[in-house]
Amino acid sequence: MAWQALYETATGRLVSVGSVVAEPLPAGLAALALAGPPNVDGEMWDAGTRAFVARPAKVLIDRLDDLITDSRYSADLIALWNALNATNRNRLRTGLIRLLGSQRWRTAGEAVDLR
Amino acid sequence: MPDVAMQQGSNRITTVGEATGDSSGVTLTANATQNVKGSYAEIVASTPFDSCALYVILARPSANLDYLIDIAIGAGGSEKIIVENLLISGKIDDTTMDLLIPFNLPAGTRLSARCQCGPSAGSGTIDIAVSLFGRAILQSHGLSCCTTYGAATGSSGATGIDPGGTANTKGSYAEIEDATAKPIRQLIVQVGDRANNIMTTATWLLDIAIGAAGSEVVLIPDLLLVASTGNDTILPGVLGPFPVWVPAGSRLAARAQCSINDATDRLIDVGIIGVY
Repeated sequence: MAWQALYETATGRLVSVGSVVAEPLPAGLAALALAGPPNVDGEMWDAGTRAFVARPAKVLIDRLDDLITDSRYSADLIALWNALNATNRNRLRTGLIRLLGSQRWRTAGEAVDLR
Repeated sequence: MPDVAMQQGSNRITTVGEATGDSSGVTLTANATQNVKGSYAEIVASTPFDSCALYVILARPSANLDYLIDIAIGAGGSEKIIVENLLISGKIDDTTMDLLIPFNLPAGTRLSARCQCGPSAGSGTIDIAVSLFGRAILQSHGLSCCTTYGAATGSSGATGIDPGGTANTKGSYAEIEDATAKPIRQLIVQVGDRANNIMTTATWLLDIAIGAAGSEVVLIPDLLLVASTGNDTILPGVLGPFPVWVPAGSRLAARAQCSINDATDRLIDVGIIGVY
């Protein structure tokens, strides 16, 4: 069966995607033929253009940068960082990365402080 | 609070206590004094049909404390506890619990719950949603096979569900299976995070449906899911089994709403195990 995306004609809101489609289509819906199931990771529906568009890449923030560049979080650490030469900065950096572990990266909406 | 009579067997499942405004459940607030129950919060004023089991989901604790939850029936001020002191060890936003309680409730029952926190000082909240099962619970008699639908073996995941760009609004249905190979008597829902290891704290309400695209009917509404920046995964990972009666040849689909609209962190994987 051919894959189709069903959307509201008036708003462009995506209602359903599938290969088994109601016949006849309920009033107010239109169908867009697809080559196959949508690639959810790579694309997302755009109601304005009534089409799948590229999904924006996820943006991650490095807590290490938060710690050594943003004085709101650790002015003392920044002062220490600025006093170090390149070799010692790299040593401290390596240690902080190990300390942060899997919590090194955060989303934009996530607090800098670890729980 | 949608519910649907299944095509055969007259079974029904509905969810009460879902909070569509923020994609969560009814919030229970503990007493400000540690180890003292807070006041009751109403889950539903009147259950819509005779039910034989409660499928309880507790999620999103606000405190790193232990919780004891009472579930009660009866009018406000004269509640009668039917399930007492359910234990959940809270880790802020991280822990969830889902459990099936075989328990007959007549239609028209008011359902409520309350909680306490402890052992140390502090108070907290926790969300609750309850799915009511109609006339059937879980009978294994005659069941001997499982079929998994929606698996994505090429990515070791399942079917991707996008709640869409508007927070707290149901997104589009994604097709999990075009035609079930066998009838489904018990349905197990699997949920994954699409290998997203850095997630935003969020909640979802997930619908499982059958029917052709454009005319889906919700079988199991508003299953409460949670992710947090602490656990960086979506919980619970498995829900059910739910007693259903889905004929062979049915199209299975799922949709969800999410409390956030981040283009990546709102995505979830859903698979279904059909037992027959």
